[in-house]
Amino acid sequence: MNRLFRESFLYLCLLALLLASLVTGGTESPVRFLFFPLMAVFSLFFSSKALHTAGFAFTILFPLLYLTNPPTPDRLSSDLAGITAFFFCTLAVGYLSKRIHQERFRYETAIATFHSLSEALNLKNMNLQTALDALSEAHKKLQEFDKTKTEFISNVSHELRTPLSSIRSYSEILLNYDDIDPETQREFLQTINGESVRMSVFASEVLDLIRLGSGKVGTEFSPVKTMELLLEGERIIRPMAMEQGLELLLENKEDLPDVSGEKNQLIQVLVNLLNNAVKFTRKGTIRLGAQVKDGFVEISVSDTGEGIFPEEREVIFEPFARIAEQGLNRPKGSGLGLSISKGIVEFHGGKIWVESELGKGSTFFFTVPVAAMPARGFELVEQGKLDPQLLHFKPILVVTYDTVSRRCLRKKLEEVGYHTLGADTPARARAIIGTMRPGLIVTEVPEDWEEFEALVRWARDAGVRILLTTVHVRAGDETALAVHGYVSKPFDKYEIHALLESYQVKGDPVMIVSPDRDESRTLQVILGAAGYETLLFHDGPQAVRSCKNSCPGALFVGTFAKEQLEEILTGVRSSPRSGNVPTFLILDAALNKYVTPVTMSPAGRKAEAKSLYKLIGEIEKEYSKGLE
Amino acid sequence: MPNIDIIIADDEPHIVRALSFVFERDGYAVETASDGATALRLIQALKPRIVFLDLVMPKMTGDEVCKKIKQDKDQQDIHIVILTCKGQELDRELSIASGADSFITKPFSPKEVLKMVKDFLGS
Repeated sequence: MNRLFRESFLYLCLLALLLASLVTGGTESPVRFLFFPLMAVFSLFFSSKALHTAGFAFTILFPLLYLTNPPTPDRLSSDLAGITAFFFCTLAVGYLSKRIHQERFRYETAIATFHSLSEALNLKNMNLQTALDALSEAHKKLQEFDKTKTEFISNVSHELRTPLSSIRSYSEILLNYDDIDPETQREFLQTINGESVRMSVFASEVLDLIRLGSGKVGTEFSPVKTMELLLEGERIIRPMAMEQGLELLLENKEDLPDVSGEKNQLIQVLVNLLNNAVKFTRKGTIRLGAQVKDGFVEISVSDTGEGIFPEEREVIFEPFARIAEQGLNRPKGSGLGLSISKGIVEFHGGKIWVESELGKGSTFFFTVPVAAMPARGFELVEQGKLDPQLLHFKPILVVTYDTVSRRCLRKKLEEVGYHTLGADTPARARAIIGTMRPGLIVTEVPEDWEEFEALVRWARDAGVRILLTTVHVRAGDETALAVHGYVSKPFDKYEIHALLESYQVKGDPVMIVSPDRDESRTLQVILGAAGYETLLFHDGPQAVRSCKNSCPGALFVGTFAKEQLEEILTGVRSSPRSGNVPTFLILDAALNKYVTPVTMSPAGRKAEAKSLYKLIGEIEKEYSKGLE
Repeated sequence: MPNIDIIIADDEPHIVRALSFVFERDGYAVETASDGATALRLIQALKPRIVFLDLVMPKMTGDEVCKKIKQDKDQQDIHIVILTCKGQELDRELSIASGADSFITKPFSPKEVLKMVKDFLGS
């Protein structure tokens, strides 16, 4: 307000001065021709929008009045009063229009806030509903679990009572009849012995299953040679197979990678499957094979038995779900073997399933993850390329979607002496950091923000720093497209004001280009309320064209897909005029102090695309911070 | 064909062996089956006086066999004993519903079973 008064006062002083010179010089004075242009030019220097309007209106309307009816000295005082009144009127109109403008923005902000609040409320409501659904689902599962448990116990009791009743019957017979012939006595004793062995095997199987179910297996995984597993299984089963006149073939002789797991448990699974194959096959061949598939080793055991009915192919992996007797003399088991195998395989992160053709045979498959390969960087150490002192260095994880960029950056870093790891997405990066902790993560602005946020959270918890950049490397054009700054969502208006002020963006319109209408609208309201004029675009190429032509005060780039983002940034940078426009990137994630965005220095508006070399410098700086 | 006194049907051969051993030592004529369908065929053909049926058997369960026998007027006086393994309420209900005359819960004492047979048939 003070400024408004001050400028109005100056304006009036000038007016008075000019009129006075007019009076003294008379109507014929040449000053009168200077009067209007001077007024117009003068009003341009006022910062207030109200005075702009008033000054212009006054400058345009008054000359008409003045020229049609030139003032004479005796009419001067009334004219002066008229001019002044007119000036104040236009001033008032200008001021009011500014207020209306401001109120409209305030109203729009309120509406936007209301909308976002109601959306948040809706979301909360939906979340609540989801939580409720999840809860009732969990309740149902618990009930089912309870039922399964009761059935399990009753099955266990049944399985225990059967051998127990044999033991009891035969021991009682042996005690009560003195005259049983030695051969029958021996037969009964053998039965008692056999049934007690059956009971103890069953008891240990039940314990295995319970332990697997509770996840308290307490075993540590280590690399296991796949071929060793296969040979061990073959060694155990061969005598049984030979006894039944079955052929046992180990089909795979090629080099297989190590698997990650507990050796004895994996052998237990394999022997169980081989054992079943031998038990349920009257004649033919048992084949044992393995192959590598998508990071897993897939081990298969196939037989030439009767096959399994389609409806039984899932059920057989459940406890006590024995196959319905098709022939009379089907061998009996505890009904737990396959469910224990399933438990072990799943505990290892693999899968178990069966494929079968009735009358032709069945093939059981199970997968075990391949043991993690040594990191690439360590290969370099073995070749003696690296200073042994660097051995303790943790690797740098480079996350960029583009393979060329990633390779190029990794190559440069390894030339300098770092170990590196690479990932194409934040999701893949998280899989890698699960097994190997990096010293620093260099990532480009991602497309999957949820995964990125998860990565940021992990980094915060693990104390690992993240360098956020826009790496853009093409053959012969090794540049990292740094931007001037980042604004993260939800928007903080003070942060945005500070950012714009540090680049002295004033007066010029601010351009927003974003594929997301909500995001751009919210930003527009915030900028509008702060008095910035905004230009809004949803289409990248269109915005680039306009940016090159109009050269805005600043450019906000929304959450585009990676390729579009690069197109916009390179497009804007390619022109000498728009190349200097301060560019801010909108991030769809909240950052924390472990994330450092690579930005250009705000000193002046001068901006150059950072060379890869400079980026390496920043990476080194950040890496050493992480070591402290 | 000699008159058969007792038929034992169970898919556990050890149980069948133990019971038939005890009964045969006391001079009863015993026939055995390892599944429900065979048991039913034998019962209809041989018309024994007592039948022991395991509840859980392949091809036809004990209570199904029992129901079929009890539906036939000529065979209603055959004494049917169901062998239940779990001794649970459901098993008893099934045995009673099928019209069984009595039931035994595993593990059982062969001596007591023999006494039961003796009481019914007279030695």
